[in-house]
Amino acid sequence: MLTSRFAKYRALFRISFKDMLTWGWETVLSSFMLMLYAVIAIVVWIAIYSFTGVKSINGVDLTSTIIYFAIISALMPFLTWSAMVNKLSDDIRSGSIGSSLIRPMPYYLKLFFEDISSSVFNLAVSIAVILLVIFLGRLTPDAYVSAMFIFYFIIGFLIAELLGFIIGSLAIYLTDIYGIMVSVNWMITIIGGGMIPIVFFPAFIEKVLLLTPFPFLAFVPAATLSGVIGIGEAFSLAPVGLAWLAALAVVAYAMWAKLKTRINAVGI
Amino acid sequence: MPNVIEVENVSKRFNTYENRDTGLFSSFRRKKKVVRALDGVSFSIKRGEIVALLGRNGSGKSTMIKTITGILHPDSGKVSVLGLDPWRDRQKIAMDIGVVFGATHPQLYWNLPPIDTFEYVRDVYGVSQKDYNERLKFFIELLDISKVYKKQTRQLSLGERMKCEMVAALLHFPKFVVMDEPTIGVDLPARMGIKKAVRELRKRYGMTFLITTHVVDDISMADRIVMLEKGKKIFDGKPDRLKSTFSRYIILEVRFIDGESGKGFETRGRVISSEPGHVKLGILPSMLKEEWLRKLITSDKVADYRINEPGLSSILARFYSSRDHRSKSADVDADE
Repeated sequence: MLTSRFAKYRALFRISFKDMLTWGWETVLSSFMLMLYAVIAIVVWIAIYSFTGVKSINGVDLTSTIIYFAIISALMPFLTWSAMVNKLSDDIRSGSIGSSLIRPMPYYLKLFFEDISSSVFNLAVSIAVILLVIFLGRLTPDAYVSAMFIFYFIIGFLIAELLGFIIGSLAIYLTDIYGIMVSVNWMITIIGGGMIPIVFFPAFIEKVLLLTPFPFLAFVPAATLSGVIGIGEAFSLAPVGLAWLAALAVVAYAMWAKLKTRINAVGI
Repeated sequence: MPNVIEVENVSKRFNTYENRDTGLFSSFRRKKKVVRALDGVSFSIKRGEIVALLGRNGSGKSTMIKTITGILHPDSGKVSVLGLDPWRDRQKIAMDIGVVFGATHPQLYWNLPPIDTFEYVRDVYGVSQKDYNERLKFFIELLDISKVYKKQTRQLSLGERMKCEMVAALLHFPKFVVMDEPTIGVDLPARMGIKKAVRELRKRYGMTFLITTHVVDDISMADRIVMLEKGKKIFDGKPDRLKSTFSRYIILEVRFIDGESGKGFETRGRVISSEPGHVKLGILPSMLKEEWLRKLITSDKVADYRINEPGLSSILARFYSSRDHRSKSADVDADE
């Protein structure tokens, strides 16, 4: 029974992966373009450190900043955005969600496994870049730091998936969700630590930002591995991350319940 | 025979929006219209039946089949598929239903060959490798797709794609199959292949089919027709009964010598067209008196005559146009 249940998702993973490979060059290019963004951030921060002459900002020196953004470059393609948004909103608007609902599997799990399979390439690139950063940056993460990083990496991925599902579901109310997608991308970039490490903000703002879900998509995993935040502080953020995961799961479930009743025959 | 489908008094409404005017800000001055897509529809389908669901665009056909397949939830009424509620038990029922959505919502992966989708379907529905091999061989022969199923889907013609869509929907050998306009845009050989497959699957495996179509020719494969108009069921019966219900007239066509125009024919029936030398008359069978007909055809003024029973397509066309004239709006208007 369990094997046959798993076989469904394995089959879905397999065909989605094969489908993704037909877009091979596009996948490779988009992944590297996202990394390029982090490289630009590194250049900007080198300029800021050298222009201002400061040795460190809130205790973080230039080397740590570079390592931080090198890790961000590895995380960006994988964590910052879920392809689920476009797929879900397109399915809702065009009415092709019906083709998925006739299969004997939950629609949201179908989207999730499709997304995982299309992220496999990005994951492989992310791991390669992180290993390179650890080697070149002479990082020596101990078991706790490594475990904490993997934990936040998974939390970040799940938060990205849930945010993607919630934003995609908004297509039942809005004709076009592009504006919201762009806004959320900016939030991840600015207040999630994609452009400015959150520890660079004044302490009060830092505390407020760390109560939002966005730092878990970039800052928290990158800062944990690069040592920008200590293991104790990283550990203290776990309840916030888990609380957001639970809250977003509840919202996503409520959105799905609403969405199910609003689907019509030809799309919304 | 037990019923596979039971639809009892099912209604479904949708909100649609219409701009009140064409001004610059007309998008903000929209009028909400509540459309009754289904309005108290009831029917049932027995095991092994092939039922054609007919109706014009917007008549409620797609809403009906999406309600039966558990995609939509009815506002009121009850739907039962194989004894289960399709909306609540959607995943359970999905194992026993096959759905072909036509060209609008394809299930085949566009960039991959159909064989990849077939294997995906095999694993999703837990079809054993032995059964899969046998069924695939059966479908390849039945639908004549041996030369196409390993090509990329996007390279296939519409007819080839539709046949492969059908395989993807039926590989798990469902008990009940829903086909939403499966032959639309499909050429004659492919259409005949699809029709042959439907009949063969019913004969061999007792599959039950509900087929929506605009192609009158497709009706020939149906045992029964259910017809919807503005969300209401207006006909449920055998194709022959559709003719007797909606076509009370026999068509009499007469060609005259010397430009005669058939004066006085209007007392015999409804003149459909009249021009010098030619008249077309719709006559009630009871008005077609033998003696009058004999006189007419032996008259030296008549060059030729023809008596026709109208075909299904002309019956439907005439029926739709008559409904347009006396239609009452089923829409309920309400300001947004």
